[in-house]
Amino acid sequence: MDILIDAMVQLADPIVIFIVFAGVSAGLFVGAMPGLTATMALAVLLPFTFTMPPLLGLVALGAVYMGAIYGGSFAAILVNTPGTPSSIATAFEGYPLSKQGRALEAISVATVASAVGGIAGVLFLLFLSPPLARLSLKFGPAEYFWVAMLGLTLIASLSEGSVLKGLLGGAFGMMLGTMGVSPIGGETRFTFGMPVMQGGVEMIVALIGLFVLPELYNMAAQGRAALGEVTLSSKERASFWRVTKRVFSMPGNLIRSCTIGEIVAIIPGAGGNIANLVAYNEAKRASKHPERFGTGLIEGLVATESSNNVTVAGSMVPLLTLGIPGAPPDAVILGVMLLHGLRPGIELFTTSGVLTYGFIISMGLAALAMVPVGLLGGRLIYRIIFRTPYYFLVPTIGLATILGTYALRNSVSDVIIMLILGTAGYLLKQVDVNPAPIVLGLILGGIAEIGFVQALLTGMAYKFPVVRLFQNQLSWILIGMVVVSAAWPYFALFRRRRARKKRLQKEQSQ
Amino acid sequence: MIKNANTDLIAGLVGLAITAAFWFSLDPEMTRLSRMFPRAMIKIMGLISVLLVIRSFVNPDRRNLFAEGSNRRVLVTAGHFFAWGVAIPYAGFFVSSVIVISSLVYYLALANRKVSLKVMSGWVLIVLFEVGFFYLIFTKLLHIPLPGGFLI
Repeated sequence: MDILIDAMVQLADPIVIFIVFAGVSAGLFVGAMPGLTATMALAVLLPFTFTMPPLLGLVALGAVYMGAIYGGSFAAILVNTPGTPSSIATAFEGYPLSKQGRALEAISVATVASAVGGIAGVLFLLFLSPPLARLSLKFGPAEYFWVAMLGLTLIASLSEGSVLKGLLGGAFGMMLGTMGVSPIGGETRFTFGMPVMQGGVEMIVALIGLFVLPELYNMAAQGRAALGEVTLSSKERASFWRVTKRVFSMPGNLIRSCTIGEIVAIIPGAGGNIANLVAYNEAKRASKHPERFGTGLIEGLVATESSNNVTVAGSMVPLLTLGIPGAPPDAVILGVMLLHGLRPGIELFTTSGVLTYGFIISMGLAALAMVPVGLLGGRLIYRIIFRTPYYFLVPTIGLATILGTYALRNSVSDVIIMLILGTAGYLLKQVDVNPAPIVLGLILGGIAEIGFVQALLTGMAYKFPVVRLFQNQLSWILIGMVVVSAAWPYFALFRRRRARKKRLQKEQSQ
Repeated sequence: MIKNANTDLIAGLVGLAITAAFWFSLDPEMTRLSRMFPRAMIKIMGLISVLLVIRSFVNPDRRNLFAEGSNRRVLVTAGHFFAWGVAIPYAGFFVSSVIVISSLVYYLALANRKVSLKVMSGWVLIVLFEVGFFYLIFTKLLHIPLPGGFLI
C-alpha cells in the first residue's frame, strides 16, 4: 500500500501530467494514420525517452501506446481504413455511422469506450500481476525454456497465415538472437567475419527495422492510396454526456468485452488485433438484434473499442511478470525497461515497486487523458495528418526511424543493420513470413537459451542431461500447453474440413 | 509483380539458405555451452524449412507477389534509405538528411503531380526546417551527439 501511495505522489508532478497528455497526443497522431501501427508509434517516438528518467520514459511510452490504439479508431470511423490492426472491427460499425452523418457521435463513443477499456486494463494489470509475479518464483530454467517455447508456438498459431511460416519466422528471430556474445559460454558467435556483429543484433534496432520499414515501403508503393479521404462535417455535434450515458447503459457488453480483451492480452503475441474481432463477434452473438450489426450500431463500436484498449495495459501482465511480451508493442516497452536496468519478475513489484506501480497507474491517467485529447484535439490532429502528403510522410518517418536507431548506441552500424533487417522483413512479408514472430523469436530466444543451457548444466549428473527439462510438474503443464497450441490450428482446420464435408453430403442427399 | 508464386517453396528455400549460412559459420572449436542452443535451433529451423518445401509440392500456397502499388518506388525508396545510412558518417547527419529527404520527396511527389523549380525550392526550405528541428532537439535538448562527418 505504501508503495502505491509513493507511486501516486510521484505521478502528481505536473511534468508527468504534461508527458501523459503529450504522449497520448503523439500516439493518437501516429495511430490515426492508416497503416501505421502502435508498435511503429512506440518505435518512432522511442528516442525521445532515452534521456528521460526511467519513470518518465515509461510513462511517455505507456501514454503513446494508449493513444495509438485509440487513434486507430479515427481512421476506421472516418475513412473505413483501420488506423491500426486493433481497429479492424471498429470500421464495421464506425464507418456506417459516418455515412449516416454521425461521425462525431461515433468518435465520442469510441473515446468513452476506449477510456473505459484502458482503465479496465490497468485494473487487471494491478490485480493480476503481483500474484503472477510471485508464481514466477517457482519457475526454474526448464520452466522458462518451456514458457519461451509456449510463446513461440502461440505466436506461430495466432499470427496471420500459415503456422509453419510463423514458426519459421520465430526460429529465424531466435537465430538472430544467437548472434554476438553467448549469454552463458561468453564466446562470440555468428559474426560472419564482421567485427561490428560482435555486439549482436540489438532488440530495439530489429524492432524498429522489422516493424517500421515494411510499412514505409508499402506506403511508398501505394502512393496517395495509402491515405484515404477525410469526410468530417463541421456542422455536426455530439453531446459528450449523452454519449457517456449511452456507453454505460450497456454494462454487460462492457464487462464481456473487457474480459475478452484481457484474456486475449495475456496470450503472448495476441493483442488488440484479435481482441477487437473476438469482442465484436461475441457482442453480435449476445445481441437481441444481431442482424443490425454492420449498419452502424453503437453496441459493436463499444465492444471493439473497449476490448482493444484493455489489451494496452492487460498485455503487460506476462511482460512485467515473466518478461514475455503479450503484444508486439510491449516488446518496445521491454527494451526500454532493460535499457534502464529493470528486469521483469517479482523485483519489479518490490525493489522497483514505486516505479512499476507508477508506470501502471500512469496508464490509467493516459486512459483518462484520451477523453479531452480525443474530443478536443482529435479533429485537429486528424486534419493535419490527412493534409500532409504521403511524399513528405515517408521521408519524415524515415528520418525519425534512422535517428531513433542511431541514438540507441550512437552507432551508424545499427542504422545499416536496421535497414537490412527492415528490407528483409518487407521481402519475407511478401511470402507470408510476418515481422511479429521474428521479433518475438528474437526476444524469446534469449530466455529460451538461458533456460535451456542452465537446465542442461544442472542435469550434468544424469546420463542424459536433457531429462532435466522434463522433471517438474510445472514443466509438464507447460509442455502440454505447447503441444496444444502447436496442434490447435491443425485441429481447427480438420474440424472445418469435416464440417464442410458433412454439409456437402447433406446438400447432395437433399 | 510475380504472378502465382509458390510462397511455401520460396519461404522454405529462404529458410534452408539461412540454416546453411548459420550451420557453416558454427565454429567447431566453440565450447558446448555456447554451441548447444544455436545447434538445436539450426536443426529446428532446417526441419521447418524442409517441411515447407515438402508442403510446397503437396498443397502449395500460391499468390501474386509485389502486387500492390509501384515496385519501382519501393526500390528507389530503399535505395535512398541505404544511401542515407552510408552517407551519414561521411557527409554528416544534417547534410545527408537534407539531400536524401529532398530527393525522396521530389521522387515520390512525381507520382502524383508535376514539380516545378519554385515548388521544389519551397519544399527544400521545409526539409531544412524539419531536419534542423530534429537536429536541434537531439543535439541540444536530448544531448545525443549526431555524426558530423566532414560537413555538419
